[in-house]
Amino acid sequence: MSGAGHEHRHGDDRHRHEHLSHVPDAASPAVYAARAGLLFDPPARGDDVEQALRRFLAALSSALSAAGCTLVGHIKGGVNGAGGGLAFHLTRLDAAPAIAGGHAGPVSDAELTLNVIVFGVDEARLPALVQHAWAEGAGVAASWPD
Amino acid sequence: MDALCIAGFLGSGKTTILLEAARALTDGGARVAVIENEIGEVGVDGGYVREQGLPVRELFGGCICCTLQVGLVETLRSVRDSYGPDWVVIEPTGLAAPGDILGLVADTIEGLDLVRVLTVVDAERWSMLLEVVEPLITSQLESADVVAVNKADAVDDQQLAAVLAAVRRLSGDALVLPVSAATGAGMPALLRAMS
Ligand SMILES: Nc1nc2c(ncn2[C@@H]2O[C@H](COP(=O)(O)OP(=O)(O)OP(=O)(O)O)[C@@H](O)[C@H]2O)c(=O)[nH]1
Ligand SMILES: [Mg+2]
Repeated sequence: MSGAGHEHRHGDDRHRHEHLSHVPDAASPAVYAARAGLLFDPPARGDDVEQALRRFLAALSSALSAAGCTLVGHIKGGVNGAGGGLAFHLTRLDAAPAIAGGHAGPVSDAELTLNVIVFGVDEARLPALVQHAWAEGAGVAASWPD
Repeated sequence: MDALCIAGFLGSGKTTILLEAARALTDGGARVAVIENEIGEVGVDGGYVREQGLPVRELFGGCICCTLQVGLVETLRSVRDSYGPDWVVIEPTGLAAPGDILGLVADTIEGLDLVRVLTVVDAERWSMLLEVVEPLITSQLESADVVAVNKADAVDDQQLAAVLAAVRRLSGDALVLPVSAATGAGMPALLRAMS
């Protein structure tokens, strides 16, 4: 990040945003957004899906803290499958996430939608931090975009 | 067509307040359309607002106050021509400077009568936000017509009074109102102030 520019990485594809000049350099936002396919084997009860999501968010909060995160913009998204959906929103690392919704029956596959904006962390590290937190925290198979 | 831009830092309560504002407008007989913008490539709020029964257009992967200006203008024209709303309610990303959006749409969208800016402030994280992104918060307040100091339920009276005083110093002539979108406290007064 330099000058008034905002560098924004999506996998191997590196875009240079025209500017986010109103965002001061010292407070550069790091952005990571992705959809991941989730596979629950054996199929999980609705409560277990929510617990997996909570463990992921707790693991991600610890990892971001350790990585020097100074401020959470948001960590938000959803887990949506055939039997329903969960929406989550987090604005600080030291508080429980807001989670709404639920899944009615056993869930065998679902989609995780995730949008992370944090400050004080190198954007290039975010995909690995998130994916590692999912693997360690949720313990549910996920296929992430390249 | 009138436009209401609901600005404010990430996670301050824009979508929650947007849904209340849109409901109040719809209850009053207005046709309402919503434009949602997310800086990441994955939209989250658009789907949620659509589930609440509102027509939504989404813009991802940038910010409508700078990198997605062209997209905003095209989307506004398309919504105006295809849906003919009385009100279009816009939620920019929490990194947007609403003043830039105001200038852009006022100059380029024919048939736009009024553009109002409501800036939402997160009372709970106020000092934390000033520490890291003060210039952004200041710019979001400078161009507001009305400021909602939200999450009043999450702070004590003394903290709320301090945030209100600080916000009033930074908001020029804007009307500054404490609200809790979560409990509904202060929401009727806020909705009246915007209508
Ligand atoms: N305690 C409390 N929480 C609130 C209030 N309003 C919103 N929230 C919570 O704050 C979080 C963010 O609310 P949103 O309405 O999604 O905020 P936003 O500004 O649209 O967020 P982004 O789109 O991520 O920038 C959610 O978990 C809400 O439930 C409030 O008045 N009090
Ligand atoms: Mg929102």
